[in-house]
Amino acid sequence: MKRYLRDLLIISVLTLVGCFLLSQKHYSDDFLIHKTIDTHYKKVAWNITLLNERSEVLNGSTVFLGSSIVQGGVNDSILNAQGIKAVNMGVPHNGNELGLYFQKRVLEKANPKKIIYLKGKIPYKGLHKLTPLLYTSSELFEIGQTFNLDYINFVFKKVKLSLEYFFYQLGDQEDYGELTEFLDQLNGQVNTENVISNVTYNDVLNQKGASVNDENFNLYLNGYLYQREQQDSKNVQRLKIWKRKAVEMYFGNNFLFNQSNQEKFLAEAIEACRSNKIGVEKLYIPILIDVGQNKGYIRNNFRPSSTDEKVELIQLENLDFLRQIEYWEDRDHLNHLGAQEFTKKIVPLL
Amino acid sequence: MIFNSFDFAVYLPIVFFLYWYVTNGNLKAQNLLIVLASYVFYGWWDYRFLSLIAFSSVVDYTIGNTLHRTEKKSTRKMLLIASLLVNLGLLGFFKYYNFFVANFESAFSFFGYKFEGYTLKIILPVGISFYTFQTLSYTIDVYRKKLEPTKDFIAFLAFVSFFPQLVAGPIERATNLLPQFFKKRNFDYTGAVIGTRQILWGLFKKVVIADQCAIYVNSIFDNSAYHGGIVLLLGAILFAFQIYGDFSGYSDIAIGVARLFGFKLMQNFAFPYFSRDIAEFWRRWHISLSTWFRDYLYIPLGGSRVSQSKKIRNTFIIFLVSGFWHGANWTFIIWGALNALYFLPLLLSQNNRKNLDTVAENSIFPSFRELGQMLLTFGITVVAWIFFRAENLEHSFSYLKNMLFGTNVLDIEIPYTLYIFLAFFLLIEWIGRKDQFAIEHLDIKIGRPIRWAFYIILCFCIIGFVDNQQDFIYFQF
Repeated sequence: MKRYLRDLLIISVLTLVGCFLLSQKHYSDDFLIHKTIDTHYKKVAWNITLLNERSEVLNGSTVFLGSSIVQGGVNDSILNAQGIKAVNMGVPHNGNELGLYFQKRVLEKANPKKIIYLKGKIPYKGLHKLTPLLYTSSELFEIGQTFNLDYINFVFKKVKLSLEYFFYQLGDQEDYGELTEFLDQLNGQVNTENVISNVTYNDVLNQKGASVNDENFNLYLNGYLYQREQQDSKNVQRLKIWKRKAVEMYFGNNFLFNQSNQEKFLAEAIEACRSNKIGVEKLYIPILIDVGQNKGYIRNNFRPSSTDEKVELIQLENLDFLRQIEYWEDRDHLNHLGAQEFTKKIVPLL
Repeated sequence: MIFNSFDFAVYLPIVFFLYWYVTNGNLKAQNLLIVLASYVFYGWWDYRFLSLIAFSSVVDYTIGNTLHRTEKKSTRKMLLIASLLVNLGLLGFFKYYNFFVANFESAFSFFGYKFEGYTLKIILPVGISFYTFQTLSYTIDVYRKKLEPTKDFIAFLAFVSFFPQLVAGPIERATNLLPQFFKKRNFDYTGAVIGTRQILWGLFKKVVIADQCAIYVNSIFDNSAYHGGIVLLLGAILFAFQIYGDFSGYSDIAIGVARLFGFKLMQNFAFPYFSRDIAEFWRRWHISLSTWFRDYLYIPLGGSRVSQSKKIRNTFIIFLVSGFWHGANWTFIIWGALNALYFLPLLLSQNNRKNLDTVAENSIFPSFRELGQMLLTFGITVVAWIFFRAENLEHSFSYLKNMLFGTNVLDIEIPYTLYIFLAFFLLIEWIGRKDQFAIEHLDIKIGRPIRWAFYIILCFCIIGFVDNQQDFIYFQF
């Protein structure tokens, strides 16, 4: 038995060491483009091509970073036409480390005027899906990641990517000439083709309490209980409240949610801007519920983020101009028309 | 709980530790632990259905012992029928009730009558087809006096619920597995190493081969109306690899895990895609089910030692029942019928036992003739798999039609890494085709440093692909 366990332990340790070594692999820009160009994340390919081929446009620009809310909500062409040199580098899904990655690459190549990050309703959790593609494990540690479930997951994903990268290098590299064309035709704003239904639009607009989808944004103000759970037995309710409070207590340095690490990534990004004497701000881009009945509920009750005090927040006081179904792609995203209107309104604030 | 999950990765070492260290080699304690661990394993999915396993176990334990005490033929027959009714009744109720109601409705409406049956909103208990057949084998063997019934209720519970093979086989015979619960089990280094190796290979088959193929198979089958013939052919071939990787991978893990606890389960797959004819294929595919049907259905019907017409009848019965066992859908029945049609010419011409050895047994490469035979067998199997995978008959036929007559445009991009993994997989399977599983005797073939490096590479692949986790296909049966 001892011999068996010893062998098993040695192989396991060697495997883990190997995984860690593979997670140290850096990938070429070609591979990043290859992995993202035909996906929802083609904006990554666009960003990288921009950095490699047109980095001069970033000099003196205001660069927008954040999730799909930024990608689809800020029309940089309008800003450029208004005399504000701007580039939208938003990429779908949440993760400050992705913003930090592109910020670092921007600063290597150019000298932008200002970096603007999205102010989310809640601080980000976890890691961005593309982080294993962009970071090595030691780079991730350097920017503040701690050892937790997200990190383990990250290492495992890197193993697959590194194997794939190995085979990719053996094959013929593809030519992404079409990206230059893509770069010429489009600005950084990318919208999907969704059209919000009348039913959803009216439901969200007339909502007086937090919707089931939205109430987790500030559940801590509602006794840690969802509306749908009001009918549960008292004991079940108590159990759920206790569990959520315990999770809440753990937020500062948590193993499960990676939230404090996300805050560290953003703090690192802000610090880097400051040390390079580049302006840094946050921008709040509304979601549909903000223009409905819940203005007070939403607008005053963001869960505080530790970086909120460090930077200015750009936000519009009056969002009534967005009360039109034609401006919305879905309950969380403006469409290209909404983005036009929103962008025009923020011009004076930039 | 499924084998390729984090839960199982935690569960297995705990049970392993308790089994070898806490029970202190006490057989009764080990068996009791197996029962508890198995019930936890199954209850992790849905604890309510544990009552079915317990019920089935109690019924067959009682019937088995009563059978042993009585010599009266009519009573013995009644007891056997009672066991069949209970076990097949449970299976029929959960698996086939709605199918029969729906088909009665269709049949009545076809003849102009109206029949409104009452369908039930029931979920199929995982593994019911497997453990039901396992307990039935016990009662039938006791009835045939091939096996002494056990008086040890805990050992019997352990036999029925033994967690490595509880939900997707191999369907063990009581004559093979039950006696192992009464033998002293000491930790065996060689057995544990082979078991671990088999688990590793099973995980590779499942996570890297089956689950990666599944991504493209699902996409192609779900959008078959929009794809060209070449893509549909590719989808069907990939499904052949998916289902083999998925099910034989599960069997490998099950057999390997059992080995860690000192049990030897029967081989369930013997490299079926290296078969030279369909008869050989069926001797190598899902062996535990094929032999179950052979022993408990085909041979009692007279097997092949009957007239030509009865041979044809028996062959159709066994293949149709086998198809129906897989699920309450006409697609499975047609799949079974198609295999019967493939098999019959061999049986009638008495060529069904021609290829009993391993292909290219004494050489590295197969001859051109053997290669042609293997490709032909694989090809007709792939056609049959289309029925197995399709949602319904209409889907099957339209898929087949588009595959044969559709445009030859390759309008889907499949990463070359998948082809590399498939080639690697086939190579290793080919090299190890004479063994119980592909890498069984790796220690004889290569030295430790290369062997361990090979294990580590397999681990990398498994770890790298584990995030695209898919359920085992055979869980639905």
